[in-house]
Amino acid sequence: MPSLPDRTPPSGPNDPPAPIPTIDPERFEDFEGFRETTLCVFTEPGANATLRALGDLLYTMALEYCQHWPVEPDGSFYHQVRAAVADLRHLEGYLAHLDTQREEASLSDHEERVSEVCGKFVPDLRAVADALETALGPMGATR
Amino acid sequence: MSTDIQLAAVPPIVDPEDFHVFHGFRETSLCLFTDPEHNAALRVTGQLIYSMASEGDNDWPTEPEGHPRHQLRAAVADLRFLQGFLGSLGRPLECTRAGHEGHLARLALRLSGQVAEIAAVLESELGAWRGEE
Repeated sequence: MPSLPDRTPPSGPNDPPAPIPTIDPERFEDFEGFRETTLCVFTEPGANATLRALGDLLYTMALEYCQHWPVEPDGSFYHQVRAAVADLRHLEGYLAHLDTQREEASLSDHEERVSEVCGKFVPDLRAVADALETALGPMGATR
Repeated sequence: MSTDIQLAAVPPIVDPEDFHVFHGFRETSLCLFTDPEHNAALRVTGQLIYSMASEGDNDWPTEPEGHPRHQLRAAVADLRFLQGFLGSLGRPLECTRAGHEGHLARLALRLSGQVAEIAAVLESELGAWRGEE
């Protein structure tokens, strides 16, 4: 009977965490699946890599299989733009959350500065999402 | 499995105040899953995985550079992802389209640049140090 590969023991609190990747925007498709803001919670390298691979597998299979699913009401292009707006809004909220950490958590001086910078960019990110959302118009108007 | 246009799952309108409800999969990934049942199943699974990891006790490695910096580094990675995604919506073939689609493609390309600027400033604020001794 074939044997299973050796299982790497899970890391402990003092082991190096799973690194957050530096994403080359040109290769964004390699990072479909889970958000990095979700994956960063999984500091255990094995767990992080497993979820990353699962996300990639699901996305790849969906690309092959999506022809069997309902068509996008506004067409594929507008559908993708709406998804981008949704992800921009998520990040807008995430940065705003990091901004509030100055009041809600005990931070070092540098962390406080980082938190402040996050807050500074919330309006900029909101402006990007607003511009795209305004140009899109309501669902159905783009057909 | 239905192919009825009316039954397609569409990307949600995300209220930034409720961003925590949308942890898990990217919307750019979920938008491929237009069957509402499949889409909802993945959405719930993503949220469940996130909740169990963030609220449970574990002995996973601690972030050497601290929690806020670690979280911001993840946000920067997601910004770079979106920079690329918006850039792909605004690739040359799309930008040369006539009408509203072309307009939207050109806008996406311009906004990709703005997202890049935000990411670059945040990146420089973080610096290269990741908690190494």
